[in-house]
Amino acid sequence: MNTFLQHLVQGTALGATYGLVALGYSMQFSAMRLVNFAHGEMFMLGAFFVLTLNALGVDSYLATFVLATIILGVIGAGIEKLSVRPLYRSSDLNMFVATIGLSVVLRQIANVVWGADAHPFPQGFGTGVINFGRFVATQQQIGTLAATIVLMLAFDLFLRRSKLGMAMRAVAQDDATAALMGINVLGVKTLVFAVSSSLAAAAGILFASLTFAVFDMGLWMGIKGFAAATLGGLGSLPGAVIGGLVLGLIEQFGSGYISSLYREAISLGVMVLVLLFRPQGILGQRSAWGKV
Amino acid sequence: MFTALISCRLRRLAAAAAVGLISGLLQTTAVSAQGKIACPVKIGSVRPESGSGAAFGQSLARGLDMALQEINAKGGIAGCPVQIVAYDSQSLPANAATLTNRLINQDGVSLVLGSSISTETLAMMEITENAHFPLYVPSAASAKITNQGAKWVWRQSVIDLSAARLFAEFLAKDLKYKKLGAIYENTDYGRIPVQQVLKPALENLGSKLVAAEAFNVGDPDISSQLLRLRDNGVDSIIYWGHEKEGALLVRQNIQLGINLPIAGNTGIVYPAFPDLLSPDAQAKTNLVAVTQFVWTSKDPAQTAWKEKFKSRYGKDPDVTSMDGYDSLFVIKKAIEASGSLTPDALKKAISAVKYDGVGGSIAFDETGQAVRSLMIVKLTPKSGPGFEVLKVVRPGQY
Repeated sequence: MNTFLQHLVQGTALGATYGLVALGYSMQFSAMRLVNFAHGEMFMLGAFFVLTLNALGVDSYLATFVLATIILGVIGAGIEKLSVRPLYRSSDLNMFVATIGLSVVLRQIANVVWGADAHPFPQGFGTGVINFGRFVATQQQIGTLAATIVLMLAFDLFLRRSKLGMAMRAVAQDDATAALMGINVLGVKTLVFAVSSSLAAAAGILFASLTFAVFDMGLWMGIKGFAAATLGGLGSLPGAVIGGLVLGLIEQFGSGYISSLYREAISLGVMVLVLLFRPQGILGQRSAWGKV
Repeated sequence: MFTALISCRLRRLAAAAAVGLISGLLQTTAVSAQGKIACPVKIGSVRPESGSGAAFGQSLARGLDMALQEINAKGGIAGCPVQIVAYDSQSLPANAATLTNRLINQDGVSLVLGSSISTETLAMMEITENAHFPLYVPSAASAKITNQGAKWVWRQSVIDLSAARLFAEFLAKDLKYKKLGAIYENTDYGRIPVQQVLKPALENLGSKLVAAEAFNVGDPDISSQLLRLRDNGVDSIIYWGHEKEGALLVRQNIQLGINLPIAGNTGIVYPAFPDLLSPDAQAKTNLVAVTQFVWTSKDPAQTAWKEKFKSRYGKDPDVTSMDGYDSLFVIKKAIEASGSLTPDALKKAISAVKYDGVGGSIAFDETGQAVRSLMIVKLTPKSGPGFEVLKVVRPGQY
């Protein structure tokens, strides 16, 4: 039982960060039919901008967290304008390939700028451990979960209540009609890119706080985030969060109870199984943004 | 107009011929003092400077670069300036093979330096063995490089299996660990030493490896493996992998309250490893490791070199940089002894060379494997991040 609860804590904290990355995939997919393979690099850059801000003398975890997510939002918007928007009129495949190239370029820039060694990362929620009797949780794990929940609730509120959020939902649902309603569709798409990049950056910071920062951390995370989004139902936002948590938990329990040799094989195998029997993913697609 | 065109062409031809003649003259004047070596001495290097193995490739590149500058500042090899033709393999073995072909056939190098990743070096050997071309491997761990009868390869660093054998003895006899659990990287680098050497060696010595858990490179969490070992009731953990996951293991070992002693391979004796750990985590961890070199050793023969390295590159040298540095001097000595750059002459010369480098003496056995000393080190929080040397084991004693 002790071990079971411990696996639950580890898997949930990790799964929460997968969920944040998956959210971005789902948003971008439903707003612009785009699977953005540079998304994992936004995750990586978020963590490295925190380190750069630290080096510049900004010490508060909260301040670096907020600043880095804003910086990545701006970078995300820039990327959309420069390298994705020119391709809206061409096929989906072109956009997809463009983002693969972009991902390689960004990863290599990070290698040159920050070096190939792993960097220690501030554990902003504290390095302490809280003992619950049968299992332990680090302050960082609890902080990660709390931050993820706050981010998701804030994002949900933004989508439901704000005009911009409503415009995003409208574009996701049907961009032609949204345009007829007077919504600046291109502007909204840029915003979607910016917001999803910010969320990925937040995930990167939380993830690096649990582990460390290294220039190729976005590679696996890009794949796992996409897997989580697909598992939950690509295009569904609650689905992305659930997909992330499920993936994190399967990884942890799979390697804990079946075999650590096949950590990824088990989790991605379960994903394939789910998709075989439920191709639309756990929650299905699109609809879950909520009708406007 | 027609004649003008012809004369124009002729002039160009004449100019080209003149350039050719002059460069030819230069070439003949640029032959070394000994008269057999054409200058410059070109050496090829393939290493991963991007991709998953980038940290090791960059370490190797720094060591080679430092040696190159020093050798050229003092007149080069046999009076010839040295040039390293270097390519980034991007951590892909297929690239390493292609680039090796290019070095031999297009760039005209006299010798190729192996990659710091074993899989890449093995791919490079496919080319060099067929071409009967010398491949000098400064730093790569896999036993396969020198134990499969290759004729054109020399490896300067220690084989991981030799290190594992020595380490098993130290853990069972000196530390008296009885019930060990292993956590290893799920690649040949981690799997083979644990399954083929540590497991049987420990059993021969009366101890037992009761559980072996794997992780994949880049895994963000080692807790499930740790919990399995705890549930198996082990008294210590053997870690075989690289520094990133090793640092996670140390951290989670404390956080989960497991607090078992850890014994690691040379993959964690890198400056990046203690850098990833808080002073508190270092103080609370009982960790020993087996390695060939550590940047915090008190060896007076290494002090000046370590300081020079740090001032030049802004970071402490690791074992890969050290081997990269020494390798170029070994090659220098071999070339100067042979006075020739033909593959056959180099083969003879490298096989016979004896050199005392920063990392100790280097000489090769008949398989092309260097006989080196090893050391057991212990993570120490006393004098900043680093390791202290517990024991040095000379060649022949393991």
